[in-house]
Amino acid sequence: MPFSNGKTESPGLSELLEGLSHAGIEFILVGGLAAVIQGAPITTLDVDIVHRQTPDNIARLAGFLKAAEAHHRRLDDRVIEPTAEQLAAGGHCLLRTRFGPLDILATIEQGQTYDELLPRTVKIEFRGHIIRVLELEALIALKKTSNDPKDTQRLPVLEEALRQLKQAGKP
Amino acid sequence: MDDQQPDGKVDKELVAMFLNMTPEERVSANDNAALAIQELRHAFQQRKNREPGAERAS
Repeated sequence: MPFSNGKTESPGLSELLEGLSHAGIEFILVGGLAAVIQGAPITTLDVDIVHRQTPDNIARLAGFLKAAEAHHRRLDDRVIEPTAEQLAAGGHCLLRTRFGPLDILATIEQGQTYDELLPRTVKIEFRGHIIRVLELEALIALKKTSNDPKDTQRLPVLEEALRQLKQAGKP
Repeated sequence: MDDQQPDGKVDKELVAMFLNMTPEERVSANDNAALAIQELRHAFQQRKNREPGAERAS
């Protein structure tokens, strides 16, 4: 997938996840990759995170995004880099990076923030880092309220993964 | 990765296979699938660019 500046991005979502962790950014992995990492056999092309909205964390995130050559995903060719102010504004930043697409969300459904979601996360070791992932049961609950047909289609797969995890005694 | 069978039922064996992987292996499998999808999309786009109307050819 070519960048507007002629460079190409490779879909290294593993590298993106590792880079966020390595930079010491406090985030919760949500969305499709959160389901993948917990065992749902689906395919996703982006990383969705909810970040902690503290000044220090936003500064770390902004620094990482600079290094990752992040810019807003747009229909035109304009290259607009995200700013710390945008990350602190409480909305969504839908970005392209040299590792692949990254959606940075201040909140998810029903306005839930990092701190509110934290009790519903699981810690998963990934490439030597501990990352927080929204638990499968919470993901399923969110997908049930979604109007996106893709989410509706994936629900049975997520529910089957959860069923098998519970059966194995490791939900 | 096919997550559902053609009849709409969930492929339970595929779920079980995926659950037997480590989290890193799962994300790596997704990366590989994503890479393949991007390459195929790119190839399709190239074909469309070379041959206008090719997307309608049988």
